[in-house]
Amino acid sequence: MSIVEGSRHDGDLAIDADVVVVGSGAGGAVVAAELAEAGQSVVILEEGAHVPPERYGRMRPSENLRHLWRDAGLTFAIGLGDTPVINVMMGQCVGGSSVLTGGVCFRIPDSVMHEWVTEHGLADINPQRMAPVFEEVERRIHVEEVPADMRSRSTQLFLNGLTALGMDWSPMRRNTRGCNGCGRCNFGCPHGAKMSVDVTYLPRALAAGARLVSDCRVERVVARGGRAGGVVGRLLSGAERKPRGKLSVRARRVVVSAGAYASPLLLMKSGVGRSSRQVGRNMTLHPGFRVMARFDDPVVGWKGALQSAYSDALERDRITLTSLFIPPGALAGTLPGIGIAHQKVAEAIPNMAIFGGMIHDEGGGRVQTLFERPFMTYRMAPRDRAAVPILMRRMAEAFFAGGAREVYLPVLGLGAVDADRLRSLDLEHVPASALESASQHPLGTCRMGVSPHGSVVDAFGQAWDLPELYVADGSILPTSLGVNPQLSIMSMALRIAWHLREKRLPVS
Amino acid sequence: MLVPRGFRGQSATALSRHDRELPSEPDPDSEPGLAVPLRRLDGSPIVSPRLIARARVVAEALFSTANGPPPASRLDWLCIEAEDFLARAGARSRFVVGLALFVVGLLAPLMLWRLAPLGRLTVRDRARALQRLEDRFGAPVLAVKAMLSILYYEHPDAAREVGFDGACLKSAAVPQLPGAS
Repeated sequence: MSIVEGSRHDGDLAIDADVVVVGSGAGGAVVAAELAEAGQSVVILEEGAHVPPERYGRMRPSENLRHLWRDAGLTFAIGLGDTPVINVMMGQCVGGSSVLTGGVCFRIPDSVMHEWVTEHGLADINPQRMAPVFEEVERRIHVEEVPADMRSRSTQLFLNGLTALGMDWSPMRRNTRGCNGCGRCNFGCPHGAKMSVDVTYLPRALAAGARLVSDCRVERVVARGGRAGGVVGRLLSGAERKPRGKLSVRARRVVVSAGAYASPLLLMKSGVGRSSRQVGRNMTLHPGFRVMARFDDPVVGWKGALQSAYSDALERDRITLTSLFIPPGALAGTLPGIGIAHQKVAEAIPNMAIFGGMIHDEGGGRVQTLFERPFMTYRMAPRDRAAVPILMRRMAEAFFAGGAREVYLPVLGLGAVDADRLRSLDLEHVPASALESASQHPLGTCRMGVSPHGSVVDAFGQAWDLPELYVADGSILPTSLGVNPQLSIMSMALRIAWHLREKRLPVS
Repeated sequence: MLVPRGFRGQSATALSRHDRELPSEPDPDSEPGLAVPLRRLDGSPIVSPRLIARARVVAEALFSTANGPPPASRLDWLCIEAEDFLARAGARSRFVVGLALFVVGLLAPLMLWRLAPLGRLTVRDRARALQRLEDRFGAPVLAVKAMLSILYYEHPDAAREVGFDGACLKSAAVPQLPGAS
């Protein structure tokens, strides 16, 4: 049997394998598939549940939140200093956040790789060396450009505004095949058209003999003979997913791909990376802010691709603008008004357009524990904080240039803003506590580097202080990217997998 | 064909053993009103009934119109959905939402210089109090409002009332993929 649901398994579970991969998302699935196809025996462990596409495709958005997202989407990074509280949304299911992205695929920007080479000494991670890696992942997950006729009117109106202001924009590329633009990628594709890892890499891994255990929490990496030799944890069950049976996997190599939130926690519990004092630090989030706008004519923004275009016209301010849409309930929940006032704005939802902006941030986040309870903090760098009012103003201006009647900025208590009021608003002095921000891109908490002093893993993801322990997920990226990281994470994982495929397994 | 039969076919649901012993899993084909919130094995609620009662007090005002609060049946459905949502969301999320509801219930009446519990105010006064709280201290109101709105507008009548017809964001029939069992 290739999938064991920990919640259904009675008693303890002990497994032997060549490689154990902790996490089944964008990083773990890629590593597992590559190594399994190379003939290695692979076990994949996933904390979340196994919810197959034919089931998550039938869920309402809130059901999806309940079953596939960590903390039902209610995970937060506490803002330190002049920083808002940031809602950090992460997947917790077989397939990980890959199941819940908008499908957006960007290669690591050349400028970012240049920074990694020059400032972090990662000479091999350059555009020439990475090109074949990107191409391989893009082929496997079918990355294609979103056609213009699939663009939602919500997106098109904003793009009209950008064009009127002389700002460039481009169509996005996504991992889709047969998408009909029904606008709910963030809640699992109901048509099997998004090529997330649960329909691409994981089936390959399982077909090649990999085994997958869902509903289990890995508690510790076990060291044997001075190197990683497996993991131990618990199977989860019951309404509250309480730890029950014991799980132990004895393996010759351990790959941790639990994401930028859970991977550093596992390393900390395992006593790995203490010497560098970098585990859990350097977290970047791409803090995101969405601006909504009301138009006189119907927009019906839920018809069309969820994400189809972006603009890097504000790159100088380290801002990337990306199209998006959210379900009407989530939209109504963030619009101002109670009672009759709420009804009025809710009835305007068919006339609403949305666009998002994210900041290519410097870092300042941290994953840590207090009394064994994990939590995240985030302190915005002054340069990033200064970008927030620029982002809001320029996006509002673009909407007005596109014909919007009024805009709703991500400022609590502000209400609707028309073009005249926007000009007089002092956005530069809005307190952080009034800002509404969200992130889907936590990165960097086990960053790679060329020295054990400033990094947690080496250039191929191996922990500096525990041989045969590898990390392959978004946590190893040494800086933020400024673009959606899915393809970058998969490509970095593939690079590590190719390295591991060629590296002899240690004798058990 | 991208998906081997084994991967799709071997586990049709994500139910835990405890879950299976109770009729707790929402049926994707079910209509609103038929949901059964997740409970513990002994049938006791995971989510405090007081928390759900507080959510209902806010929802009555939040979604009220000139004709008064929404129909009781819709609020009943909302409360069941909220209970199931919070039961599955984990202890931390329950704490966050519970704290936000507590703060809102405590502070909102003060916005009208009233010391009575929020639920004792008329729906119209509740809406006024919550509006003032949202204008001045938006964060706790946002936390409560976001969760309630996501659930509320999934009710087909509520969705219809605001002109939403996005079929793919509702419960949708899914074509079987090649090879799926």
